[in-house]
Amino acid sequence: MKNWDYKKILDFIKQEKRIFSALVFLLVAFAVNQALYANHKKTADSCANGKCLIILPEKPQLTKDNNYYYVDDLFENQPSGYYRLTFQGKSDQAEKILLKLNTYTEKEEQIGELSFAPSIKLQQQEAFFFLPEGFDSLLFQKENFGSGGDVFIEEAGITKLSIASQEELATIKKTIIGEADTDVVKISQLDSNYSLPWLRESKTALGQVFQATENLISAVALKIDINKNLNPSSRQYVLSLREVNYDGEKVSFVGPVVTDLGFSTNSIEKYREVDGTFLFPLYGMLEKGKYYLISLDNSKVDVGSQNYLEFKGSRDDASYSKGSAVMKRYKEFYPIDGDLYFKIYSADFFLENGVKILNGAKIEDLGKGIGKYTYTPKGKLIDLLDLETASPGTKFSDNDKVILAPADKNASLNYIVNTLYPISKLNFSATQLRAAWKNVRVSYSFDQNNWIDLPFLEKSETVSSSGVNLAMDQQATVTDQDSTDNSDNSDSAGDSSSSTKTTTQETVQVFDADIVPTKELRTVYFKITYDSDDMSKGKSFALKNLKITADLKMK
Amino acid sequence: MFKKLPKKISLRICLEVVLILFSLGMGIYFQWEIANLIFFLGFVISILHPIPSRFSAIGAIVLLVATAILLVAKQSDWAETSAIWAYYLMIFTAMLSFSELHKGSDGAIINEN
Repeated sequence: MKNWDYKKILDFIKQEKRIFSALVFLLVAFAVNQALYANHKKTADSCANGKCLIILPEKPQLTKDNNYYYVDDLFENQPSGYYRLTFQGKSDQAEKILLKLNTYTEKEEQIGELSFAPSIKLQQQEAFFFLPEGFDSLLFQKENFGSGGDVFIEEAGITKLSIASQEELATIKKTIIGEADTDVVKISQLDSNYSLPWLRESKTALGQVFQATENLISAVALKIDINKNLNPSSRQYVLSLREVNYDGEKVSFVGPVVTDLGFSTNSIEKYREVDGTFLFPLYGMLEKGKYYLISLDNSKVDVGSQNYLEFKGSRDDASYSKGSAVMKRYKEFYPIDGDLYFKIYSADFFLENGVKILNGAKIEDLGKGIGKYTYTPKGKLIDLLDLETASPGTKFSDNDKVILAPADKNASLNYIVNTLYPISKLNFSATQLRAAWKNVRVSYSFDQNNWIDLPFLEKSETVSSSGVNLAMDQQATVTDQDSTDNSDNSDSAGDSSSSTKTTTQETVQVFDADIVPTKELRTVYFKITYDSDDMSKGKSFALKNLKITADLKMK
Repeated sequence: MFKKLPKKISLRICLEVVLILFSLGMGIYFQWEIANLIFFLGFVISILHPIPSRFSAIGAIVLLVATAILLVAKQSDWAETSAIWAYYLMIFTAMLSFSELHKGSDGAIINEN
């Protein structure tokens, strides 16, 4: 090229600054987008062995470096006498633990010795001891200092016994604690060599039809690879469970959505399991033999070839013979070749003499023929399993740590409380979760035919905007100032971290009623529903601080 | 080499067409939504042929008001989209305002001379 060409080009650049500004802008935009929208694939296989877990496992209370674990103030204001200590424990190695009473002045008194066998599951343990005056804390101490076992100790609690001598201890029955096994896979298809990338198309749903073999689903595990760029949308995918008619060729819905769960490309990570798959909590009542569809809908998400969820599964239709992978485009679901990788979880309940004991319920022998039944929900998703039956849409709120249900038609939450021993008196206490929601009606029955409504008081309580109780007083005069919005999306609840300090006064229902059976009874049925005469705009109903206790005749 | 181009189609027009085609290509490559692509093209065209900044400012204000209304109407998805468009238009406005200021200062210097 000759010299005069350069000069002409330079002159042209000076003359046409805008052209070159636009060119520079385009190049910068390209570079930024290339970095921002480049596909970052996170596969289930690359996340195996816990590599992608964002919820770190709990730390053990006793380790090689920490040989002491104090449960402070456990005996504060407790009178001297005989007590039962209950707790859950596990250790990865055989360990011997010394149990000691303790004071702030470092005075100690050994009350027992516990042996832990290696276990991956928490085991219920109990110990009996006499509490003298002057102790306030309990100490778990490793017998062999510096031993390598990691020991977990949870939910330590004490109950005062009615006995007065060491001899009577021998007559005390072992505590019965209801504990459901939720790690039970009932239906599965575990081949995952085939990719089903159809969710990269917008307004698409992809799912799996299965035939129920149990009356309950507690969770579903799916194997999903995540394709996302550095700027993924916060909009939510919706995972839903619905009953369907399925004949191998056509899929059509029967009834409403049983339950659903929303999550974004970012918040999905909280459901990640150690093996790299995702375990989504989906609680719902099923009918054995009927077909159900679990599907993931991307209608609200901006998807593309660099931002979508890719299911793993099998191309072979025969890998799960009682259903098929299905896909929705333009409002129609139709079966496609293959099956998704999936595991349907249910639960095996704790049975004592053939009777289902609610998860977390405790039946204690206090001595002298007196027993105590206590049930309080754990504030975890597993609380849903305690419901005998529940209406569609019932879900656990991560925000409020309670079960809530939509207030429509004949919605109800039903519990069966079986105490194993005859009840002398039973107490039901709970508080309405939010004043703006529908009023709650609680009824009980001994035979499921004659239902009696439990009375309640209206009390005003001070709540923070995040719903945490600050105080409660006996006034019933303050009007509800909270919004009527009862948005209860568990996923968004999981993402949000409310730190608002504002407080409001609201009037809520407080249930605290004693039930005294006139004949020998061991079972009480509770039905929690909403007040259909309540014309407020609330769309849900729920109770918090639920507690059922009973005095038992332990013959 | 510029001499060989037909006189009716200037080199400037050719380059502008190439830049717009390049913008379209980027939109397809990155799979932008139609609305985002339109905004991007608008951005590029406004660099090549600036319009008065008040037009984009009015557009931004209208979209901000629409965002508030959509939020009240609980149309959060549309409100989010509207807020993003308003943000784009505000960037437009800022860019065009700088261009107008630059033009104005150039003019002042010319007048002083």
